[in-house]
Amino acid sequence: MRALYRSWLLGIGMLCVFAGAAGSQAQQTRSGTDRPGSILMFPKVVRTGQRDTIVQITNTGNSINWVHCFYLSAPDGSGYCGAVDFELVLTRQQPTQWRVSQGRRVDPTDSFGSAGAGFDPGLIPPVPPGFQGALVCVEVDANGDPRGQNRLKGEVTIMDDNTGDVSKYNAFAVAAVSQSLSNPLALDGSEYETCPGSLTLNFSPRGSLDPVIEDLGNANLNSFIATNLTLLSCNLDLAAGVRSNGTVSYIVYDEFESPFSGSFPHQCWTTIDLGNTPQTTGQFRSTLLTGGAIATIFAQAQLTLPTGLVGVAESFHIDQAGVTGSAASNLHTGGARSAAIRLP
Amino acid sequence: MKKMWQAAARMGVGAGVALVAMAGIANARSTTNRPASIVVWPKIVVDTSARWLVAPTDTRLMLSSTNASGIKQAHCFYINATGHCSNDGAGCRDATDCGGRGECVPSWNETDFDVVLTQEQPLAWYASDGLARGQFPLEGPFRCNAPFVNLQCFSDAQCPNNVGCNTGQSNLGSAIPPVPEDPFIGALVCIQFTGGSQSVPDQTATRDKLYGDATILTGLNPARYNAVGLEATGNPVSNGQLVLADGGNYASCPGVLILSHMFDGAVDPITNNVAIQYISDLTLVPCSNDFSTQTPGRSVAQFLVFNEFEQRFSTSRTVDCLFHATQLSRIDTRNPARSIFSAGVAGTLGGQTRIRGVGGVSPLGSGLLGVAQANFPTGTLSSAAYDLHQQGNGRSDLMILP
Repeated sequence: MRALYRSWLLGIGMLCVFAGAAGSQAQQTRSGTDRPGSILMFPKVVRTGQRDTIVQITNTGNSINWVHCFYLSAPDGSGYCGAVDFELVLTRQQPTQWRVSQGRRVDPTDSFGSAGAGFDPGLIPPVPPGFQGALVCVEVDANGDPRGQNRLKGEVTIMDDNTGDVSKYNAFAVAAVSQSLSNPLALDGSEYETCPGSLTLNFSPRGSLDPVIEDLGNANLNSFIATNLTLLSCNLDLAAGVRSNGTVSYIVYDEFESPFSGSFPHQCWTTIDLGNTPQTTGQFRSTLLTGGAIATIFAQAQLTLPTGLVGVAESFHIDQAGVTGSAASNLHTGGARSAAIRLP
Repeated sequence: MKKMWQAAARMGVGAGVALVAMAGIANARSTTNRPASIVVWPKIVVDTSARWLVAPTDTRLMLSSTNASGIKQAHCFYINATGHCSNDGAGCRDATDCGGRGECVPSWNETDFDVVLTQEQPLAWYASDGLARGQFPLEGPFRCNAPFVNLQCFSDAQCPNNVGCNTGQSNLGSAIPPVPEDPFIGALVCIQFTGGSQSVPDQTATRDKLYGDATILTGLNPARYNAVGLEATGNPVSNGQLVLADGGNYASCPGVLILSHMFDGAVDPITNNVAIQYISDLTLVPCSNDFSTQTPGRSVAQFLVFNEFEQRFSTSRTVDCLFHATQLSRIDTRNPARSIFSAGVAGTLGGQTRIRGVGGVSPLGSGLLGVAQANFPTGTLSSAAYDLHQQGNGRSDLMILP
């Protein structure tokens, strides 16, 4: 009898070991920027100075898709996460686009080839000048209740109307894993997929010389690389606009494998110029700059927030005449964190 | 004896149930967000004399390890897809680069090399330069083990009394050549190996530790995208044949690639300046390659194009090693104004194109990977690269190592 008991224990033990191994593999969220989902998060939407943002959203499915979208505004860095919402209806496989400074009207008489040509997806309000924030869109049904079709994808193009300089990134898509969804949206792996637990960024420390501009462009050892990082919490209260406080921890490795670490406060939405703010000076700066810590021109940063976050980086390459080119990039993700999004 | 069999059976049931659970989780797909074991950069461009492009161009490649302890080795293949003009032998992407005086004769070859990455190490290089010995960050000199810690060394032989050289983790063994010609267009594939003396494709518990990105710098204009990753399944590789499929060695390639774009020639509605027209380019590479016999993957890309009226168009092109359309509206015609990718034909600004790889040369598959670049030809070229979305799993693909 004892042997029988032991053998069952051994079997259960093996089950636990294998399940544990499987679980550790599953600790990585499957959400990402390369496949459609039911929640789209655009971490960086701007209309500041000469910069404007073009949003593209596409229904990749063969049935109609109702979408509830929210502009999150964080104009003064206070962390207030006020939202302005609007609704879209996308027919099968329909792409749509708009400039955030203009929004999109409902006008069936739009001329062929004009900005508003195509089936009007709904009235999209323009954002005010000086807007900095994010856009979050959620698949819903005709009644406005959450629905998980996993058919939405999106892109953003940030354009400088003065210089024509553009940068582009894909929206972060969170897929629904259940057909039984409720408000608040649970990004916990049972209703929706989880959010990333950490973000990884490859970057050149602020103040690095750009070898290509130095060799082939207008530089004379005066080129300059800077990086802007924008983060959006996965925990969002879109009903009340309540901010979520937290601290982002980071660790930076240069090519010598030397680590530098620190943290900075984060409230709902944060945008920072790496190495140029009190919280991130030093660890994100080249040794070319006073107080810079990083001795190589390439580095890797890992960022974590206890409640999960998504983000996008934008690098700026500047020559000695001050002419600037920019490129946005999606961050790599690791781990998994549960979060919740409360809809009105 | 009977009890032993019963016990073994129960253990087997437990293990079987757990393995089934794991199999479900292990149904991995390609990714541009997470570390993986195969990393593919579909587009690398070098044109330092601005022969093809409006300004000198180079590509910065970054490859990083997320392994928290120990080195990882990447075995990498530059795929050179630069064609050559029939008239003067100059490098070309298509016939337009030959000035209308010759055809662009396609060619293909690969160059492979090894990179050893230490734990958590980011590494970057410019495709035109590569990284030679002496340019890697951690190459020594190192220190001999005690009691000769004041002596510098590169190998055990340089330390007295056989105490050995404490090399720790280093990039020794790495060498990255420059791309084989300039101008150059091609791709890069890196496969994670275990490192050490018996290095094999990594299917250990610390697989999936590599990720990368590329920045194509044209003059002052950077265009950046994330490399595509294919996660390992844990199934050991045999005979140097990497099977990219459910139940294979690595995640399968996408079934469908989805490209959102502005139609070519669409005039910017805000400035209404006809000089500012949206133009997109597209690069596709096959998932399959036979590096052993230098046989490139080959498949047919079927394009399904939707405009904002939900109207549908389609076309197809052969992807032989690497397909690069300098603008979408040259995919289906030599007259861009008549293309289904032209704003004048589609009638709307925004479009969605679904791309599916079909055909393929046996035993290689037909899966495709790709990257797009949106170009805004204002006074100076301005462009932004971005990764394609993907849907579903493709059928089986195969990479054969030399």
